[in-house]
Amino acid sequence: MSNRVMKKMRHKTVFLQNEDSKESYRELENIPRNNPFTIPDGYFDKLPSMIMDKINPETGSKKTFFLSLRNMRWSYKVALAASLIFIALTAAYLIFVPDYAQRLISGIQQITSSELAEFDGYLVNFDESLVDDWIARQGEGIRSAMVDTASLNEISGDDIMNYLLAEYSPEEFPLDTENDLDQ
Amino acid sequence: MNDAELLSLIRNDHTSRYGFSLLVQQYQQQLYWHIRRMVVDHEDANDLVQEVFLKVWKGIGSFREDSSLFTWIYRIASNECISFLKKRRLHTMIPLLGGNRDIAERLTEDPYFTGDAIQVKFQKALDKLPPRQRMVFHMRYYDEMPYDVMSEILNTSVGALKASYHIAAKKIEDSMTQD
Repeated sequence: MSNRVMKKMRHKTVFLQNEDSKESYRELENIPRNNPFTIPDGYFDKLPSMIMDKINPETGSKKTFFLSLRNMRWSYKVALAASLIFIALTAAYLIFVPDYAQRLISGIQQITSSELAEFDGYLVNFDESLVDDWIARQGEGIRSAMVDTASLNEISGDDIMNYLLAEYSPEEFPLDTENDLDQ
Repeated sequence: MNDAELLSLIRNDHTSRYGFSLLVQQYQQQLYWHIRRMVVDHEDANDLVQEVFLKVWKGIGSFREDSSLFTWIYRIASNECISFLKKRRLHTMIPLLGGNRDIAERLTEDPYFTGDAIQVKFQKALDKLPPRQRMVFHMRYYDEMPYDVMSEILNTSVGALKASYHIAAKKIEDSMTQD
């Protein structure tokens, strides 16, 4: 991101910090602050014992595992079943295709130490939250935001700044506003 | 019971379980509602609140008392909520996992939601916010938590939190007037 955009974002962040203290939010004032959520009867009476059962060393991890499996939602059960099937198929492949293990070992042996060092450096510097966010945004229409190269050239620094402020919280940016603004 | 008394009971082998049960009773409601407002669904909140207390139990031995017990527990709960919401956003990509239902539809069918149409609209607007921004909004709007306390819990500067709250409030207002 260009320095100009970063500098504008810093100024915008400082401006917004001051806005909060002096502005009221009319639309929000119309919303009653009462709690629209309820809980099952006696929930807070039962919760401590549910928690204490889980931390009881005598119940052991085995019981906790089966209890959690029984209470697991169907979606997680599907994911668990799919994982188990994948592991079983992989194991079957390794057992019934004898050449595979040998080919795997010889393939690993061909990797040079410099390639390993390069890969290791890549992992250390890799920010997996970027992938998480990117994948999450796929479902929110990132495809519609894909434009041709000519259109990309028309995106200004202000457009980028507005997008970032709309999609992220200021604290997600490593801005040292006071020091940066002095520069 | 204050932090020192609770920690003293929990750190004693003979009274640790009793002390921890007192801690659970002391903080369960605050934590549950903090989590529930973020994740909306009771079952999710129930799973998460239990998960948070398990983490507190496992980590309390290494709690250095740099902050209050309340701040430390709230920080664990906030991190759990944000991780959960990020995972849930990923699930919306996979219809098989059932995570792509509209929040208005979910709330209408939810037996533990009693809000009216305006509340549904409000929850829908909240659902569009990034997880951290939503958390800042909840802590300020519902709990009226001072910014310096929020800053300690979320490990973020007061200025950035104010800006975040302002952006969240504006987005919600826009969403409420548009829809």
